[in-house]
Amino acid sequence: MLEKEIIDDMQAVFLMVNLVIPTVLLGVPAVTIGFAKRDAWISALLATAAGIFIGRLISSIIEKFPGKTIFEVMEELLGRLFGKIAGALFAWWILHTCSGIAREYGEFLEVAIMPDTPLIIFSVAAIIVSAYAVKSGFEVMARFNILFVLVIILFLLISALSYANARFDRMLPMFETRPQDVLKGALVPLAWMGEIVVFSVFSPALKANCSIRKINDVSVLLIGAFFLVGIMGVLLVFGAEHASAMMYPVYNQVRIISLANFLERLDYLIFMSWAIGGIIKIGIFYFALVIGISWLFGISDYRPIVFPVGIVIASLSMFIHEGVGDELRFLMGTFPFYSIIIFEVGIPLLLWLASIIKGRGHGA
Amino acid sequence: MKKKVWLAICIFIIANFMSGCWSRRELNEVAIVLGAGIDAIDNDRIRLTVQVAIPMAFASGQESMGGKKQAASMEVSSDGATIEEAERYLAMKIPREIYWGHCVALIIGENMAKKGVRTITDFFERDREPRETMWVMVAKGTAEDFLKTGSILEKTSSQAVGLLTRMKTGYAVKLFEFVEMLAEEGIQPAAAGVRVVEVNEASDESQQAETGGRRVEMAGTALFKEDRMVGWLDADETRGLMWLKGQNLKGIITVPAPDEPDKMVSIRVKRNAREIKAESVDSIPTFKVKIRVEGDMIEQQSMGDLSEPEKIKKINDSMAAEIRKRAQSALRKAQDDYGVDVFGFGQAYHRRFKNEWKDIKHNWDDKFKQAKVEIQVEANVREMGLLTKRPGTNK
Repeated sequence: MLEKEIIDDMQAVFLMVNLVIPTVLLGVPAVTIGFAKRDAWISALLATAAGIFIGRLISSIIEKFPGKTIFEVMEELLGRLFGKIAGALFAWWILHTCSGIAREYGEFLEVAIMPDTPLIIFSVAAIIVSAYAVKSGFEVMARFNILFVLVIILFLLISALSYANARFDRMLPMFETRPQDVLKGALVPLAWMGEIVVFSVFSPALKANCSIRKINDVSVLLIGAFFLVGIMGVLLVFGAEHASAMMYPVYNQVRIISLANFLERLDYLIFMSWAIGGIIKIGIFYFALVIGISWLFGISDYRPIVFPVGIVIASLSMFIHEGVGDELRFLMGTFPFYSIIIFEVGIPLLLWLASIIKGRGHGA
Repeated sequence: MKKKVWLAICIFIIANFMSGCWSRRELNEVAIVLGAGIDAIDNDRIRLTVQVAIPMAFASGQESMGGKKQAASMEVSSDGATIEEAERYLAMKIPREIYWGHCVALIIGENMAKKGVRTITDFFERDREPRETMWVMVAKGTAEDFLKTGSILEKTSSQAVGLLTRMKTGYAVKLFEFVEMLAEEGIQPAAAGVRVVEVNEASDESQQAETGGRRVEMAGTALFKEDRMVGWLDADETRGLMWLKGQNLKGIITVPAPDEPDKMVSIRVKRNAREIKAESVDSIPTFKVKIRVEGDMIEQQSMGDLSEPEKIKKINDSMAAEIRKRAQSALRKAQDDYGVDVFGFGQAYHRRFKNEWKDIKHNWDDKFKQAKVEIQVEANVREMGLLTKRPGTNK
């Protein structure tokens, strides 16, 4: 499906980072701080370490089957029936997560700037743009993703400008939180970092001689670094108690920037980043889903099903959660276990075991 | 051809949406709130007073054109169980949509502050319009009365206090800082105090009439225990509080001149910082506070040459003594009279002794009453302005 599309290593890293970063920066710092309090940075480091493990696990499978998507690998390793079942589950997870992201995308814009606009307008708008990107092909997506560098620059700018409000003693005393709470705080960002497994759908688009393991490592380290910067910024500016009560603490962090009484009200920076980052994140999941579904039903060209799938994502995003309370419960309580245990570690581990038993590929 | 038709259709559709935004609000459709005041009234209800800008008065460059100056703001009050409820009642009196984005100050009436402020800070953080950077102030008397007082130099009282806090002569706190102090353990909140005073000084009678012979000013600091106000610090003690909290302060310290003690020298504070070191002596919390102050000498009444190092050292010493005195008076008031730790000594203790803290955090304020605090001040005069000495010194 992606035979003719080839992206280079840097584009792959950027895509992978942007596959995770937008929502992890907006929503997760408050949760991690809520659990780990002043030791949230330890959670961030733990999550990164575990993320590297997930990245290595998935790359060790993918590298044995060059030119095949994860779905095709499943069919090869688990047999036709079980392969299709595992693939269908994986595709469902991508669909579920993608509509969750589409909802978050709209929800933030609705809560923060446009309270009177119906939620579906945002989801549909984001999905129309993503659909266009998906239809244009993976290479186009990778190039479009270069805009993401702008998001990162904006984010680093925001963090630098917040320095005036930061007080480092808000981190002290260290190592006070109970270890189990620090672990809980690491679980949620880990679930987000584990989303890099989605990228295994695109492995045929990678250059033939590149090291997937290296790409995964670099991406996870970058994601971890940005997450750490984000979480520290929020913690040092607001303190643990206040930050953990916020819905979107990075947004609040931007709102209070005030330098020399004229550089203030920089909220729009966040909206710019979110508009770009959110759409790209939705786009990558969307793309993976389209490839998954066309594999599931044996469709040779994915393009005709792009719009129908978009409609499914948009409508699912409307009734996936009843309200924000339900959504928070799901994202913070259910989603980490559901994603990590089944899709981010479970299925890859199964595939890895199968590849060892079958003795296929090299190195096993 | 087909492509062109599609393009035309697309352009047509997009053009329809480009004409305006969903839920837009033009400037002439909104009532811009400059300051919000909240008072407690009977039956657990609150009275919300908003000071709304009158755009016409801001727009016209020459206000006095055509004789009478137009008022720059109007104040409207209404009651409700919550702030939002009161705001909805306001909407019946103000024909425009209320816009909070430019609210400079949240003025809490003394009664409300004594009843507890936790019930009222939420709206200003939860709603997307009010900024977390608005100033939180406690008004002596009612907030309604405060907002209804005009200002001669600034157009409205909210702007007047907003700019006054920016001068950094008194303690001031922004909403997000205030909420953090409310939420964290080991520190009690403090907020700026403001009041209305009668003035007779305005030379121009028309000005007098305009403001009703009244003016707003900063008036010390309101101290809180949890979310209830327990007392006031006066202007001098407020300085002490700022030294002890390490809050940026732009003030003048006047000390006797080293050569002629009856003449004075004034030093303008440029930088200040503080460091708290917690210790536990016989399980009594003990704190060593180090305050560092840097300043420029800007006025000298005596005739001696003060650029001599020994004399500067003397000035430094008397400056340090002065700062120490102020800090101690604030400490005494907070520690002995009200028993609230507004300085964050508890946090310093927590940082150092995280295990012991668990046992005492629940009655930290009682423990704080027994705490010993040593204040050490290091003051330095750096610059001396445009003169090295007074002309005619060696006559």
